[in-house]
Amino acid sequence: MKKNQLKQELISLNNDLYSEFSIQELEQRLETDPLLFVDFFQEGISAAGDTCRDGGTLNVCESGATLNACSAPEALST
Amino acid sequence: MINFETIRQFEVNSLDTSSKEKKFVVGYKERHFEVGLGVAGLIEILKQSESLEEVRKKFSIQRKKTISPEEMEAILNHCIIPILDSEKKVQPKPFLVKYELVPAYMVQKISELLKILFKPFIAVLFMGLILTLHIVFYSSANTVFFFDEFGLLTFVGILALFILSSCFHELGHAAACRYFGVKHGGVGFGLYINFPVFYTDVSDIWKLTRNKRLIVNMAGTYFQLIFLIPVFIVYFINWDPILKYFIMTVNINFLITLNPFFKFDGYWIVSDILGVPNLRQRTKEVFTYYLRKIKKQTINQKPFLFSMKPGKKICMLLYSLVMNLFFVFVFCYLFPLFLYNFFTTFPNDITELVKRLALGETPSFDMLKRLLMQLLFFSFMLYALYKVIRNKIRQRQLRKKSQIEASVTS
Repeated sequence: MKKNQLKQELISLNNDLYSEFSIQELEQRLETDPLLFVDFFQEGISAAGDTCRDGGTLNVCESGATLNACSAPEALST
Repeated sequence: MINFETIRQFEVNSLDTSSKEKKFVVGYKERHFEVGLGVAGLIEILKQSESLEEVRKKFSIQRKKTISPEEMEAILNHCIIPILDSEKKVQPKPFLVKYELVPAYMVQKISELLKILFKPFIAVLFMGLILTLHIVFYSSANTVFFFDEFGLLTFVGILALFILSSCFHELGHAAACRYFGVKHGGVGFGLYINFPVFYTDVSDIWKLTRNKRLIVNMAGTYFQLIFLIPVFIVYFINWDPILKYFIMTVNINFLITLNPFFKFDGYWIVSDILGVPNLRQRTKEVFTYYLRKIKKQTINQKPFLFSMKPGKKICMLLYSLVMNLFFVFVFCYLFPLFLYNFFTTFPNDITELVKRLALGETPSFDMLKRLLMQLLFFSFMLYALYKVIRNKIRQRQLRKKSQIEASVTS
């Protein structure tokens, strides 16, 4: 009887260890801001001669220039 | 041996999570621990006690069962000693390189002044203004870039402005901490995977509610948007394409900052929305749990996912799947692809560069940039690999040492 009670207590404590007695170190909260420039290092940025295809989007153009921002009216007018 | 005076330094607060079980955060010497109700209760007893026997008696009353001295020791070794010993262990660093640029006490002087920007009335006013300026900017027909020349001076000017806006971004996180009355660390520079980043240590916000933590997470973007207000005004006066380029670059950078897979602001936002601390680690828990179960290995802790509320559980499961797939894609496709391209093109490019230099020709800026970027990325990869291998060796040595110590003791 006493042995059973002891066993029960031990099982109960082991179960507690899972939840109530859990411990875990929290990760360091480093709020980071990546320093990424949108192809900032390109030689030049020009959209001359490029065609706007998708309105309101940023297109990567094929003719060497890299960033081409098209507004909806521009896309529609081409 | 438990030092009761040291335990009285533990700061225990409720931890806002989506777990059905009550969680607490224990702060001790800049380190934070997630603990269950049992541990929080035990710490309170330890704080009010002078001897281990007193602790055992009080703890027995609290648990409504007799705790033997051996059991008490086992519990203390499991729950309290790891916190006390944490200062001896090095905290895992998320960065390859980390360097504090402005110490906390200096940042605090500025954040104290800027915290006013989080007052609801002021915040709504600024957000309205920012939204209006963006609508006007993007609906403007004149949004195609025409640069006659993009000189070095312009480039340096924009770069400096961009770095300044990033610093202001970091001040946003710090100011939000001050607004909610928690401390923050300094602002620094680091290398995360291969990204150069600015960072602010806001670990103390673990003790805030999830809504407040979310505001701190988004405070950086909010401040960077405020930074754009004068830029917008100048742009609407002189229509300078360089300013337009700067505004769009900052806006696109927000998309990268809000990426939920890398540990940028987006990661912390997802972590707080889901209510899952240590999110990265917990996305692997379920897979590890079932793997150990299949292998019939001992399981020390159930996955956090099992304790989550039903709605959040599905979101967490989806995020875990996407997150793991994303990293499989990065490490099994993008990185090998880069290495393949690097080894096939880099030697030729270097030969070309040497040839041009030998002929007295100036190599193009584009070529130098490409070579430098490839070399930098490759170096970061090698450095990361070296750190992983070094940590594995150290872990193995520590495991062996503890096994030897255990066998000697027994």
